[in-house]
Amino acid sequence: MGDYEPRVVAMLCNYCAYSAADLAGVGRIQYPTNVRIVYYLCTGKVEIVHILKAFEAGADAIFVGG
Amino acid sequence: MIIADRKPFEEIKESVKDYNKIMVLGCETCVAICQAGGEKEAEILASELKLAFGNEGKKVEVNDEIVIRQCDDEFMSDTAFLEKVKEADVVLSIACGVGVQHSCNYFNRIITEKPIRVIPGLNTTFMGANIDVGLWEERCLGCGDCVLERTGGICPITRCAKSLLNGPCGGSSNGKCEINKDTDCAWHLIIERLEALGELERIKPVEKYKDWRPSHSGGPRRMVREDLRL
Amino acid sequence: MKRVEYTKKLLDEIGLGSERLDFFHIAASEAPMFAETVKTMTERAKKLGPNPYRINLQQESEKDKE
Repeated sequence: MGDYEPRVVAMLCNYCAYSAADLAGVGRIQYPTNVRIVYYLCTGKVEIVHILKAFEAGADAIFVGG
Repeated sequence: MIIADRKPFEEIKESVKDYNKIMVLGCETCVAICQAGGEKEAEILASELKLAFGNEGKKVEVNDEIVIRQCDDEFMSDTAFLEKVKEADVVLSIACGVGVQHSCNYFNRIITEKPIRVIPGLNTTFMGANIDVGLWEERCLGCGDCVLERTGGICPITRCAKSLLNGPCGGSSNGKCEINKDTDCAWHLIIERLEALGELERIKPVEKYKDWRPSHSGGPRRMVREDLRL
Repeated sequence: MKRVEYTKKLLDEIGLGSERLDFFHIAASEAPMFAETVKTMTERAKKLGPNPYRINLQQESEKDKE
């Protein structure tokens, strides 16, 4: 457990949260590197099964950002 | 169409816990439209079961499959599909009660190597219509002797709590039923509709009794079309 | 958002816990908010521990190797 680094999946909307993530990069804002971003054109397309499959694939936490 | 509701996850999990290879079998007809047993729901249930058993340290193989209609032989006759059915320990059918029984019957008729276990994942609730987004209501009881031509297209058998045939009871108030204030009084609707049509006299003749013989009693009902039989 | 709420219910049923999933409103201009969200979720994932499903799978595959 000592070397546990959580895997966080971020499901982001192109027009809101993804742009914010982009801006965070441009602005050199520090944030944890545990996050893996899944890009959506709109978070309306996030299906329940996407979330469940991500957990199946080993995600520790998921957030949807829109 | 036929409306069904998914069984509680705990119940489903309990019913398949003894098997290692589970096939979740969805049906693309009625239950897909009421979002209980279609392709998406089959995927979700398969994924849920995998996660839930995996959480407890139990490794199970869960596949999801979909057929257009589980109440018809020809949609399930694909050889590759039947091969998969044969490999599974249990088929968890998320079709209506008809689909569960028919697929079970069909698999056991076609596959002779071993008996096939089919169990239900849904509770079949009623025959109804999608009256609003995410809302379904019962519309037909299948009584076998339709009265809609006399009642302006509104079924008093299904929609009246007492299945009355000759106008509303004393419990009808402000167009609502006494059993539930959210339920419209079917007879209120019928009278309004017939009035608008100018055909109120249609309900004047007293309906003495309804012929319940074609309704459900005395075993399964059967329909034979001689012209279609081989 | 309702779909996320529903999925949270499913996660509770599965036994993964609904805390592992969340929904955030992040506007395109809110880069710090994005970084903050990632931090929040990473912290939460750390607190909750690894996804039990993944751990069990790893153990299974190790057993298989042996």
